[in-house]
Amino acid sequence: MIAVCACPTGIAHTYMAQAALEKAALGRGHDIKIETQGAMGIENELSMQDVAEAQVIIFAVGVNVEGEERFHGKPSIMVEVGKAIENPAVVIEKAEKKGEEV
Amino acid sequence: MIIHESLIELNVTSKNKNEIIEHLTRKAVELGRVSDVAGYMQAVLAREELFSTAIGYGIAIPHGKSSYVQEPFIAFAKSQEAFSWDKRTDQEVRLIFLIGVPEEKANNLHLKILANISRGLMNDSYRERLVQATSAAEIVAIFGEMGL
Repeated sequence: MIAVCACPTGIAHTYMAQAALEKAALGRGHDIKIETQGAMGIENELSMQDVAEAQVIIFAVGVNVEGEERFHGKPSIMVEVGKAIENPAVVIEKAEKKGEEV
Repeated sequence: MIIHESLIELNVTSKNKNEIIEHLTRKAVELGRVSDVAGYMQAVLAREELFSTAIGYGIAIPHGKSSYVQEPFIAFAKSQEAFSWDKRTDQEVRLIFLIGVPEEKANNLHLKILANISRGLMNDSYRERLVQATSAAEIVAIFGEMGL
């Protein structure tokens, strides 16, 4: 799975969500790559290949996603950044379900 | 360094968010990181108004991007007891990290340290050590490990 994390100031929440989702996903045996869109710009950018290979995309965002067109047509879930930080396991489970539907 | 021993308060008894933010802000002013208490606090409280910065895990991260910030900083307070940070969410908080970043594009190194510390806070063992720490020097050392 892949994910995009972003928040309004891009100083803290973005990176907390990244760490929390990464840990929860690995804990459940998934490969995950997470792009952050924060005060330092886009980091760990998702390539076309990353997107093509992903079964599901998690958007953990409090602002608009930059380059959203990259992800058109892929199964995705949208959650609040805060939710991803506080309850990452629930978010990963939700993503699993979404990925299985397709 | 982004954190400094004089920006750390270990036995906070206040259970009022604004009081704690103001207390930490005054410390940042004394250290020359912030030029104006009211000006900086306005940015922090406006952000807080958008939605609470209590993120779970007993942590709140009030933060403000403001031209009153001279140099990026983190100030840290540990409350003696957990308390409700914001009536809207009723999250119990014990560890408070007040973050300040200048309005103009901040130095990338500083942003990187802040990002690393943010990630570090998701690590159970760092959090546990912050809760157990009894001196400002210990806190600074833990931040050093998280941020570098």
